[in-house]
Amino acid sequence: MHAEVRKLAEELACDPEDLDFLMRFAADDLAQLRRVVYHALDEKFRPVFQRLELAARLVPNPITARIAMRHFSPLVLGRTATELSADRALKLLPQLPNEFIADCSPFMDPVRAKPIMRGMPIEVILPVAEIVIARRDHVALGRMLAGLLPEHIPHVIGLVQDGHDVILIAFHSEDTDVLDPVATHLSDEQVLAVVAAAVEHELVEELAYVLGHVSEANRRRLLDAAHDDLVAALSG
Amino acid sequence: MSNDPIDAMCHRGRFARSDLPAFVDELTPDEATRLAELFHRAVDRRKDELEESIDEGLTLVPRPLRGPVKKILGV
Repeated sequence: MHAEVRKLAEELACDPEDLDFLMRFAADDLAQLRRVVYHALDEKFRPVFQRLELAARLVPNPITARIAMRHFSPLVLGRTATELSADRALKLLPQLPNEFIADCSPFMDPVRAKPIMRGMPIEVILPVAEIVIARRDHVALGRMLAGLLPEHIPHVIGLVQDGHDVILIAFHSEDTDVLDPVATHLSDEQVLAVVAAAVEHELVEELAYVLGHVSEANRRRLLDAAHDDLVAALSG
Repeated sequence: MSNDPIDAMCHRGRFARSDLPAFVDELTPDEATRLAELFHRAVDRRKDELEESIDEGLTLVPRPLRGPVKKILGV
């Protein structure tokens, strides 16, 4: 199955087999279609979240936090949080439990929420990331990685010990520019775990996608750790 | 309005056809219809999820005001 077809199926919440007819097209073109779909689904309802954000401005932070946790779902809050100014969002953060921030994280737009993500102290990022990793929410962590400061990436990726998780988090990262820093900061143990997981969990296609976005040195490092069969599959 | 399923998808998603990769013009009529159907279904699902979430949130608003508040929010 084409990795980009699988990602598009996730965006459309359908079975990848429903999109078999797209298999003949190039990965870059499918990625372009996926990005259009993602933004269209998001933009269509954005005015609702912008109005909620305007309403939240009328209420002091502690009350906003209490109302948010008690009355609104992570979907609404994640999307509304994306509309907050970084300053307001960062003032609200200390009033919210990490578990709750982790609930909302899959629904935040990694591009628009970048100023918020980049303002978050590492002391908040790490416990939230730990929760998301424990839930094996690869899409949420992939999106989170895309929003982080480059210097925070090694800390977060260092928390992911399971090779299966590393591959799927990298695969789901919305910003392929983070894949090389991720690969650079993998420990030797993580590299071995990644190549083992690719075989054990049949994630060769996903790993090939990731390797397509890393430097030659990082690609070589991963291939050197792989057995010949896997190298052949990844190179094919 | 055009009967083209891709045009209908663009209209509903509020994006230009030129935003889509060129291959959409190579899809057969059945494939284009299928792609558009899946998109419309995803929009409907997202709308239902959002409405449900907003309804849950509006339990803090007195019942007679919930309709007008939803209207203001544009749900």
